[in-house]
Amino acid sequence: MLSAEEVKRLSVLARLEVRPEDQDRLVRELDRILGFVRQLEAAPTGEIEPLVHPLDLIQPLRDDEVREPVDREAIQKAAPDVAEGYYRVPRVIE
Amino acid sequence: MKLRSRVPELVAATARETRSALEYYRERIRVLNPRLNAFITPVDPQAHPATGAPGTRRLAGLPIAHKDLFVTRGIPTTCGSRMLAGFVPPYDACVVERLDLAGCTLIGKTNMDEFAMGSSNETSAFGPVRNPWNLERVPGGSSGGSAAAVAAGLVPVATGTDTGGSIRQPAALCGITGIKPSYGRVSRFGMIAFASSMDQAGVLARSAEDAAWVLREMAGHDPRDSTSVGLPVPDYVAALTRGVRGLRIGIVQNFFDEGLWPAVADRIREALSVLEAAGAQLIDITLPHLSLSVPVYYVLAPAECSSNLARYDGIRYGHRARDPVDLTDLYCRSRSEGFGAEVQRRILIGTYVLSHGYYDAYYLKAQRVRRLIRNDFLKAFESVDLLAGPTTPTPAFRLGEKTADPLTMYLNDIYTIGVNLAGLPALSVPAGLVEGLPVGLQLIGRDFDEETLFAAAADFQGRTDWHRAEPPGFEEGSG
Repeated sequence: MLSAEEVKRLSVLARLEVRPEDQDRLVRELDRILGFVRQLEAAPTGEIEPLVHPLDLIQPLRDDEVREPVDREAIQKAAPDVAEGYYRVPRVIE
Repeated sequence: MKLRSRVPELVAATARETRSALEYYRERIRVLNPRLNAFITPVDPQAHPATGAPGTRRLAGLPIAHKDLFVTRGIPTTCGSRMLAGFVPPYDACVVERLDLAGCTLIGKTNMDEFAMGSSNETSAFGPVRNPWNLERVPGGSSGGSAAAVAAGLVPVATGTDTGGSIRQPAALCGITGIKPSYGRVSRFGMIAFASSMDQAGVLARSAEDAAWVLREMAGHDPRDSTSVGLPVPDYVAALTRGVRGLRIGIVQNFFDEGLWPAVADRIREALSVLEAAGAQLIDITLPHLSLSVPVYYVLAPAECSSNLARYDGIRYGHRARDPVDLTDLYCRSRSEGFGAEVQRRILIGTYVLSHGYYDAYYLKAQRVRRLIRNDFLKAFESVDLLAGPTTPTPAFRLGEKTADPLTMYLNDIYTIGVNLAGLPALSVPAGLVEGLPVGLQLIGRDFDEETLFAAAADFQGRTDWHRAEPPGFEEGSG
């Protein structure tokens, strides 16, 4: 059974804020989903190779050369807060 | 210009009288979309002018809608989320770019489940889409807006994406044709990522023929997506006339288990007998590990989603919380305000299965079972050319019917998810009605063999009229 403390720990890792009024519901829901996927435990997989990706592709590499110029101004139009070409965030270092 | 014109007819008509198709569909969207909520952003054709680069022009003048998960230069792209409300991308997705070059005109961005996580379109931050066959029913999801718009005749074709059934399931529930190509067939560049080892772009259309015309332009290697394969793209339009004669079709016995409505099973068996009468050989097939598809998916998809959605930090783009006290507060509140409940559940599940102490038991274990599932499919394709079964266990359910319990909602994709885990191509075609609601026949092909899917689907549609059925109230001249 998933505990409230564990959900709290997950929310910290995931950078999500769980509102106190949502906590009980969330613990119940997550516990039910995890209980459902736990049926995989019984699957007879032995040492079969994990399938990370459906195609057994080799990662193709290209030459490391500049292809597209980065238009900083166009990209930063989507940012909530920029100043002088930089992203502005709350103070990190005191 | 007629509502049920085929794609090649629409392109030919546009060559004779410019803008006619566009104006026709824009008017239908204006009048009929308020009933459906299928569009998040209707697009003025001038807002997204073609690049002017030389293209095939094989779809010149064809109006098209893109699922609001494909980024569009200068046009808001929300992915159905509050997180991206107001986000205007500076570039086009590869799919958008290629369809522009083919001559398509973007007519709108369609509604969808938030970040493509949902099977009913009810997780959208922009309100649910309604099923044109019955406005109290869901259209399916996550490409529910695209499916409803095509079914209601608001647009002739639309793009969608399919991570666990998100093209095929809404296509089935709305009575249209939807194809999810093989993983790697279409570039994912500019598709907002959900589960990158399964996400794939495809087409929702009124027939296999229309879908073939559009997929032919979308498919092919793109250097900006290293998982898009370098195989040549066959001429899907030419494949339409091949027929099913001589094909061996495996009937997936696992799909006919207790969860399937008997009336849906009847429609599917009738559809299969049509294929048999056309010269296909039907063979019973069992895929031993298929029943584990849903649990495997609900480990792997959340794991990939928790990692992909880590990028939404409230700093570079997307929603930002007001007056953060520090950086952590900025991250946490921006994400909790921006993401809806289903997205947050999946991020937390993904975080759990990837976290220390659980990684082997959940994530690695699921990947091992994923290989067993793919191996089942590969073994089946040693003796058959296609696999077939229902797309969904039931017709469209009621709005609100499954929102209380996430697990009940997940099980709706029980027949579609295995295909994504294996990376195979599959499509859904209309196979009749149950209680006045459409039912879909699912066909599954070998890796990169979309041609046989198109051949079988087109042959089926040459012998049946289900794909011509129109939802009441959305016929020619309605509104």
